[in-house]
Amino acid sequence: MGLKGKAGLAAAFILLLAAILTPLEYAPVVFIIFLIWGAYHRVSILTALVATVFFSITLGISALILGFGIEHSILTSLRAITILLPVYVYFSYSSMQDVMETLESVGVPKDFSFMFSITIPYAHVLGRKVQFVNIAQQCRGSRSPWAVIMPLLNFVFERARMLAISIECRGWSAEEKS
Amino acid sequence: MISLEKFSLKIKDRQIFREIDFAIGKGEALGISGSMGSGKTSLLYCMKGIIPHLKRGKTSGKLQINGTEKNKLRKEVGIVFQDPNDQIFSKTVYDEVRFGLKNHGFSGGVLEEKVENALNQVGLWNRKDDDPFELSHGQRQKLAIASVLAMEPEIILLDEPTASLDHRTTLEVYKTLGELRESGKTIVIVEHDTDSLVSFADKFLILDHGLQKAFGDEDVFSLSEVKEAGVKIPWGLKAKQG
Repeated sequence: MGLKGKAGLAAAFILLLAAILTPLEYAPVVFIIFLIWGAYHRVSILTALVATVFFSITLGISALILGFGIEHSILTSLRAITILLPVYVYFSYSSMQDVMETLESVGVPKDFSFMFSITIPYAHVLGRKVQFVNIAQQCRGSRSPWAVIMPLLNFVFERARMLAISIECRGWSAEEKS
Repeated sequence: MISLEKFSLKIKDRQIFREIDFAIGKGEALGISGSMGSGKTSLLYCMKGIIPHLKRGKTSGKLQINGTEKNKLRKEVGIVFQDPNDQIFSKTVYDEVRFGLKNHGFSGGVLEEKVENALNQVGLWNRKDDDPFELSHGQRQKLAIASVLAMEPEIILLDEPTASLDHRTTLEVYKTLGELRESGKTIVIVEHDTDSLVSFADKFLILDHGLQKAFGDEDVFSLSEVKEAGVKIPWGLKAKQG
């Protein structure tokens, strides 16, 4: 499924560039093309949209607040999704090992390639945590976004800390060269 | 194999535990139990070398493993953390177990064989291509154990491996640990479930508020200090004591 290695990375990069450079009024067309491309690679479209919607809605709202109008804001949100989708689809059909080896082969330092390879898949873990925290806080009668954000930040930092310790305990070293 | 002499730990002026003293030999199983906050997990971290290498802490006294004192992460010691979600990050079960082996320089057929053996030991080989986050909590705990087993450490430390597990999965985990002990591995396990612990471990260390209350065989559970530490007396021993 999908192009592996450097070819896959190159394809994702080209599609990313295409999404950035396409005029805003064509964003819906590009969005539909990318949805079809993602479906062809059997990537769950719903998961992809959930992973990208937070960022895209934030951009859209920002555009609205800055006075760009509703149509422009919606197109901005769609463009954000089309920019993120190639990255998401690439990481979805590539294993962590493939991603790391590909990035290292094009000169990305080992630490950064490892960081990318584990951070992107963690997006869906974070999405699930947001759900749980939201439900827990609503059960206590709270609808404040801070009641979700603060436990989430705590979770993110604590999980990152423990994950780093666990990874080092399994022999990972930033100083070793492959 | 593991020997501590008046071993103490302080983190930011707070005494975590003080003057821990015990020794266990190769192939023995040590069960550590005690009140919450008594330093059990920190003791495991010191044995692995996480403290002071990865987490801050000032130790004093002696901690020797295989006769040596090392101030770095010990490769011959594997650790399974309390929450398996803290250590799982790969896309597939297979990749998760393979990660540690690749870091230790294994590759090719040898690596594949070790991964297969480790997953078969915990009964997860048929889930090797699955997303670890789709596994149940018990299965993730088994995966965490497999990822450590694959590296074939001489000593295995486990921090409450059966917390939140059902009875059947607890028995499966202890069965796996029993097979490892029979193969010569030394096992140190922190556990609140003393019923399971007493039928598995050879020696027991009881901690309370950072102090060592008892060390020895199952007779320690009849000591008044252990009862005062809030440690549950195993049912089997309770029946014996009448």
